[in-house]
Amino acid sequence: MPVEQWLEWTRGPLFRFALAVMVLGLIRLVVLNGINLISLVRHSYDKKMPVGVVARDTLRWLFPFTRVPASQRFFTLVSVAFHLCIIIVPIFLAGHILLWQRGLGLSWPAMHQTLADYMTLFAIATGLLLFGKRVSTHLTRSLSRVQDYLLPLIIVTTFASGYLAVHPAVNPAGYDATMLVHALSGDLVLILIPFSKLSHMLLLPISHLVSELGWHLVPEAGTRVARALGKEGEPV
Amino acid sequence: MTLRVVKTIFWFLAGLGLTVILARILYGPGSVTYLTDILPWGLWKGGGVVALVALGGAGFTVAMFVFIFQWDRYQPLVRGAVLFGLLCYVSVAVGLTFDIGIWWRIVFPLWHWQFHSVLFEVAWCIMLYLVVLLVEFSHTVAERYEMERTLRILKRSTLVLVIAGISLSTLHQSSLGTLFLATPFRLHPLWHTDLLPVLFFVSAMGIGCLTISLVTLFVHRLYNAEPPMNAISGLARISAYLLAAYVVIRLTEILASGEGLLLVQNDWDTLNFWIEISLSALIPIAFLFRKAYRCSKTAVFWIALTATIGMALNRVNVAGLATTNLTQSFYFPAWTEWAVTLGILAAGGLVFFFAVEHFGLFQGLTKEHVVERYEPGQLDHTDWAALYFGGQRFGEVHLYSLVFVVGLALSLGLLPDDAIYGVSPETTVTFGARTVVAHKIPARGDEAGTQFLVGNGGEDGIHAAAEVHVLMVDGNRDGDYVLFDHDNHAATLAGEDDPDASCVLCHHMSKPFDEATQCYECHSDMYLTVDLFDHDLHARELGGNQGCAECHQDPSAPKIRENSTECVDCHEGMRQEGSRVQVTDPTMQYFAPGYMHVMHALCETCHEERQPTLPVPNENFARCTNCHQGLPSLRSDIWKSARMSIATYTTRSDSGGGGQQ
Repeated sequence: MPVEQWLEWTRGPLFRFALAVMVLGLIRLVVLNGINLISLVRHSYDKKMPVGVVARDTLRWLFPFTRVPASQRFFTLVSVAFHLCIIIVPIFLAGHILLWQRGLGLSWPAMHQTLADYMTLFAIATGLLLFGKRVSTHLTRSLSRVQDYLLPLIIVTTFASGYLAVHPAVNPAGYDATMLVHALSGDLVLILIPFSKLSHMLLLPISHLVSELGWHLVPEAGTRVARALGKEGEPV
Repeated sequence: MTLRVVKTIFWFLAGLGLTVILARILYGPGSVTYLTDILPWGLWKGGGVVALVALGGAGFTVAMFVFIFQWDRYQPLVRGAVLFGLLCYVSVAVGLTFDIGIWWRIVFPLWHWQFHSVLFEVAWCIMLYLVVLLVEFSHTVAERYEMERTLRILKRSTLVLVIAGISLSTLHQSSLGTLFLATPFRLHPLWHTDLLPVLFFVSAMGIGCLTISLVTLFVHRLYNAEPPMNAISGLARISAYLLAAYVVIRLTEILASGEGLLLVQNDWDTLNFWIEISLSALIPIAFLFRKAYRCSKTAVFWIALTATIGMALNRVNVAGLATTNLTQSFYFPAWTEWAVTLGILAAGGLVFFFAVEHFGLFQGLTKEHVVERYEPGQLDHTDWAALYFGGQRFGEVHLYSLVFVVGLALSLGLLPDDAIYGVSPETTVTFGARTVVAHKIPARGDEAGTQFLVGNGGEDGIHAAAEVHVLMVDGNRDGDYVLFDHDNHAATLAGEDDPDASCVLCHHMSKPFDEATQCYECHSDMYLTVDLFDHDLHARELGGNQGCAECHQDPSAPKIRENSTECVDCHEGMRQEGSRVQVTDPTMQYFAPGYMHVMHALCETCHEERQPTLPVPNENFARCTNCHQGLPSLRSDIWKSARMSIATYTTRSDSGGGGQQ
């Protein structure tokens, strides 16, 4: 199959699959976590939910500058910038909106192309910085899993190939090949969202809720579980 | 195969089918099926409706044995049979809903009463029987939730309900057969008989006994329980007699109506017939009359499976497959059709499992079989799959929801474009005109205008007429053509000074280095509007990436047509000045409407304008018959004896200024 047909395939069938996996997969995660939450409340000692406190804490934690150690101020900023760029650019890029309009007739205001260019470059730079930070120290390496290394690289690949596709003058490779890399890596990111830590885009508030509710378990719950399992007295 | 694997597959299929059903709501069955107007009944109707009604015959058959004949031997199967019947009929209702063109009209039989329609009777019977089955099954539900008063009322009405169920089933099982009496010219004679209603009814009872045996054996095997073999072997015996009766009636009818020779023909329909009747009846009968096979779990399972497949094939044959020969059409279901039928069945299967686990459907299948013993064991932190999908309830929820979501998404990805964007019309490629020698008979007095005659045969005096080279305009090359005297048009319309001045009137746009591009080169589809711009060609010719800026000059604007350099900015001689054809809509500058449309528009407009100025008055000058002169089609048999020399037409640019041949 020639490259153009592969390109059509990644933009058509594969994109539909990836988008459906992302949306339905996230819905599935929220439902599963919802069931978890309900069972957690049902088994908790104190069924009174401090809704106000939980809501306030959750929102406070969503704001990225709560409790930042002085040494990490720079990378906190980098991380926030990275997040903003990779969320805003794909949604509001004029070229992407055109695709939506052509396929489904949906359309919304686009961001200016020059701004999108700068934000794309910013996303690439901050993504590489974050990756570098992760591999640079022993502490961060010991905390990292495989996906922690791979995900920023895949995202950077998507943005870099997107930038090159829009700016053929600086692109050493052909347009179709660049676009293919862009579409494939973009689809891959969408598919990975519900199955990797990228799902924190939706689950973050829920995980905060869980940790807040977790304090309301029955006292001595751990000992009881151990007793039920017949592993009393064994080290956990 | 464990229960978990079966449920996983069922959830996946259900997801696959659900997406197709939702997509089908958008653009209709045509967007997701291979059905045609000639063969409108395929897998959905044959498999999902006609066959499933027969398989659901288990419900009324077993209920009749237990409650009317008081054969207590079949008591252990009656609840399962009623629920199985209910699920079959619900599946039928769902499948039928999405099979009819305007799906929400499934409820129309409720108030649009058509007393002459067999389908009207079938629809009402199935609706009423569905209600009967629901009430019959609610018995089990009421017992589970200990609703004493409801239970008392239900128990009192059991007999009435069972009798109603049997009557309704007798009616609609047979009238589904009656329905196909209306298709004598479609259905192959081996299947079409006046006894179809009888055959449908008898075979539904026979196969009903076997399908409920099959389901019972399968479910008990999955839950590691002991199936009620006493009841099953009894049902198998009854079913052998019923199927034998079915075979006797069917073969006798074929022989009696003098169609016996069809049974030994060497063709596809005869093969199909023998495969079907062997699977559905002959093989099952042969085995089930022996007690040893009837009492063996394995044997009954495989025999019942064979018979179920065979009888489903019978219904699919009657509904569509055995009509392909007489209708001269070919059909194999699209994957989307399989997905919907299997998805609905899988969803029904999941409901059945749920009922087995929660409503005590089978006496031998108790809570101990359903709930596995919980054995914690050592936790392995590195085994993420066991951590996520392991354990009982929640592990299963994780697994099934995952495959369901993947099924939904996969189906969406694989759906044909027609199902996403609507059915797109087929393309019809156009070809250039050819030249042919014709005899030109000039207009005489006030009669019709110039006539052409082609070929070497015909009346006397034709040969006396002038021989001219004319263009044979046949855009889609289907053999129907219009003869066009190009030279005469060029001469008549030419200016006094410049003989070539007339070209631009029709040849309004030229390709690079072309003076008069042929019509078909841009109007390349007979009916559809096509885009003239070839992006890849331009990218190649302009030197790859470095050339983009030639047309996409503003780097901050999206690279779309509206933001790019106009074609005429580079191709200056492309649009001819003073042409008759003027493109007024700026968005249509580089789109070419369908060949047929533009031909009609150009010729008609010009002829209408010139009619009043004709030297010889001709009222047909601007009418269809002026060009469409009823000359014999190239497909016509005339050309077997007559000859016509058709040559390729070459333009000046093609042959380097050679002119037409």
